[in-house]
Amino acid sequence: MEFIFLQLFNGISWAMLLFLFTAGFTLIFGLMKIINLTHGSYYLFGAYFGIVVISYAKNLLVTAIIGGIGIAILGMLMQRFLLHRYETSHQTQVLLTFGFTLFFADLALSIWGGEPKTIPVPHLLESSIRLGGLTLPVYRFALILIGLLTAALLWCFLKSKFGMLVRAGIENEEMTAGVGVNISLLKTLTFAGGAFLAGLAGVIGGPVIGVYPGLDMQILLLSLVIVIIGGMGSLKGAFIGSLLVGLIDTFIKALFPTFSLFAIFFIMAVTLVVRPSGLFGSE
Amino acid sequence: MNALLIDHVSKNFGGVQVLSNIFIELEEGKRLAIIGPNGAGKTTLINVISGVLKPSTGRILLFGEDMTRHSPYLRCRKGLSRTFQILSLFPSLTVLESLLLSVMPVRSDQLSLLRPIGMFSHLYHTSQRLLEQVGLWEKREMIVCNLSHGEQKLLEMAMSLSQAPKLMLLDEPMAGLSPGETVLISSVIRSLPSDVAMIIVEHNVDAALELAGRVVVLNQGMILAEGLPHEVRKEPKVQEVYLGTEESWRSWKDFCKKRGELHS
Amino acid sequence: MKTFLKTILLFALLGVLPLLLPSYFTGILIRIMILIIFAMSLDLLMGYTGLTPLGHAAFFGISGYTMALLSLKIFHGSMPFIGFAAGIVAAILCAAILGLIVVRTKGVYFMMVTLALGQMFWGLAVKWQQLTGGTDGLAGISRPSITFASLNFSKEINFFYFVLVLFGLSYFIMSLLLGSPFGHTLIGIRENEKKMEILGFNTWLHKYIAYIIAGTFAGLAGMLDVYYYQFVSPEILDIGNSIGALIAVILGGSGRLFGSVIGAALYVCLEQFISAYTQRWVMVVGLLFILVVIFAPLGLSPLLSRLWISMRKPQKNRVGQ
Repeated sequence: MEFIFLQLFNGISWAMLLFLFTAGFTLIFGLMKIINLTHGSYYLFGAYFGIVVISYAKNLLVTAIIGGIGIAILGMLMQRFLLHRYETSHQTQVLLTFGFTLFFADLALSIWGGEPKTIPVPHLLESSIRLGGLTLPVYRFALILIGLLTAALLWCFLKSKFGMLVRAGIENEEMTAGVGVNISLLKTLTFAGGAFLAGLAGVIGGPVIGVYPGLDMQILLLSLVIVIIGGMGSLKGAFIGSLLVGLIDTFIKALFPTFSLFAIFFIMAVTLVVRPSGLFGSE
Repeated sequence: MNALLIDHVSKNFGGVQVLSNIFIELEEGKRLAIIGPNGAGKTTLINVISGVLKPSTGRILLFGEDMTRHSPYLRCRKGLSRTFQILSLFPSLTVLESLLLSVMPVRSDQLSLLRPIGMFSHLYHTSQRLLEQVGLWEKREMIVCNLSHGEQKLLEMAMSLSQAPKLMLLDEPMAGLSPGETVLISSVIRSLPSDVAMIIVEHNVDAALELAGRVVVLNQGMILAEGLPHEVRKEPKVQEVYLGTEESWRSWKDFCKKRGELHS
Repeated sequence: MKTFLKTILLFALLGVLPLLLPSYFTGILIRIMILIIFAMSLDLLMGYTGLTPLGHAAFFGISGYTMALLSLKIFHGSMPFIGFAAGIVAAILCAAILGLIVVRTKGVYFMMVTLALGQMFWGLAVKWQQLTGGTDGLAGISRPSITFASLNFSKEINFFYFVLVLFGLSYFIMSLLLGSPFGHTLIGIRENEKKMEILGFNTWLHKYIAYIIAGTFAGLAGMLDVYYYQFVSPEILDIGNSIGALIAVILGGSGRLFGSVIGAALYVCLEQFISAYTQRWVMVVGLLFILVVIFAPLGLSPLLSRLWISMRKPQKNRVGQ
């Protein structure tokens, strides 16, 4: 019983981190229909930036925001100067982000080497809470909180005037531009926003899962499965999907670690066969 | 037996009702025109009949068989063919290549994996026959995207004839054609064997009525009127809908006059 | 007939090359041939059917690992052809099962799903250390030999001819396939799948069969690769490998069988050349891929012809020839 509760707790905090990351991915896809495969690299670079910055900033929150902004800038540059030119061909955009994944992966390896690194847990959140017979790290509580907060913020944002503009832009670009909205700027900002979330997630995920080569692809993989299950472009789907994947991944890793990927594969396969557009996706 | 039975079909897209309770019977060999203003749901109806879309409620029966849940390729094997309003061709292939693909017999040769296509001479013969029928044989080596709009429509027509269909759906076959090309397409349609049932969706009311014996008027996803051309014209609802489009209204009047059915 | 004779001539030439050139080149030629097989399998999906898989290295690796595991752990070097056969069977089986899930998707969604699958296999190879040796990989895989003919492929030159025969067979089968009605149907599906359905083709079935065939040839290439290096590690399942094949296909001109030959040869030569100057070949591959997608999406030929402003034949393969 304790075991289940512990895994539940770990699973939910992992899910919230995944959600933070996947929300960014979903934002980018939702507005621009770009499947940004570089998103994993954004996470990794955010984490590595975090390691560099934290030694100066000494504050994880500040580091996370700086990391996020740094990646947002990277994303903006990529979108503005490259991806933007291939707006008409989604396939080309995917291929480009795919190439960047490889490039960034090796770049990170050359700069920071192959040794796994970690970001220290902030002193304030170092303690643990005793619940029942379990010792639950406060930091993971913080992760859950941040995840829920972000979900709430994003939900409010989408309902806000700005969010309405974004959604209108998705529905009908020409019309929205016709009423004077700078769609191009909107897209760049959205892409930056998505990248920001990835970078932020990289930093705050550091204390929990560390930073190492290959992490970019691993977390990207989980995100891809999440959006397949939850439905492309759906934030609600990203949330539910993250919970599902986070929990299943945690439970299986605790029980049969080698086969955690089989479990992920299985739910992905089932989704594709039974409901290819995902839980909340549109055809 | 009916070639086609559209049995109380409705279609909605997430809250927007595009088709409501459509009921149409089409006997074998008979020709029906479906007309109506823009956005009436004509193309959606064709999409539902051909299987590109599935209806929200209702059934589609082809030659007595319920094909409502069946994919487009199964409907083709039942004898259905269609042309597309927005041309749907193979842009970088040649005219001949497009036909070769169209005439590949539905069952046997399709999955032939290792014999070169050159060995299937009957494919070439049938392609030639069809292309000559629409007058495109001389242009067989041209790349499709280099053809004129009219020629592309003729190609589309030839491709839709390739499987010797028993029910043809023609979605705005005259759209965007010059008067000369319209005459050519009309004559091709008229020369089709009389046992081929046909549904023609057209904006060019004049042309549609020339080719069809019966008319269905669609408006906002519902059948507004149905029957012989001159009967339908007299319906006040139909007059209201077409009052906005002077030209088609006038051409309809002229057409009925020509046919001697207009007495006032 | 003319092209057939030309092709035979080229193969004969290829067969003679290692005898004329220094032995250093034999290895390069072997790697080129292996990549051509891999690239052809990719192009079958990409250039002909219109489906671009991003995780195609999965089949490359599945067969490679299956063969390696069988020959190392079960047969300990004897009866190598059973491992070989098993590798092919593994590729066919996996493609048949994965195809059921994957072939229902199209376009960018297909790219995404195939990437996810490819990554899963990579992750599996890394995690299942007991079986696969993890990132250390498995070494000491012996090359097949035909004992009754006392043909031993451990010598590189003999292995070269082993690969040459398989390459020739693959190329021949691919040309037949692509010239058949089935091949032309794939082109039709690439051009306009909706139309093909309306015309009466069961497009799903065609795509599924193409997927299985592509997976099988990729698996063949993978096994040859493992035989060559006599070593297998998760790296062969990595995106770098998939991207290498993608570069070979795109650079050579997708939709043309001979394009894979050119693209693969170029890629391997580039790798040889650039690796001599830098450790960071992987980074270069990523950049190279980006550059190829931007500047040469239709292959090197149009790029060159644009530079020389001359008329060229269309790139995509033709129906009916």
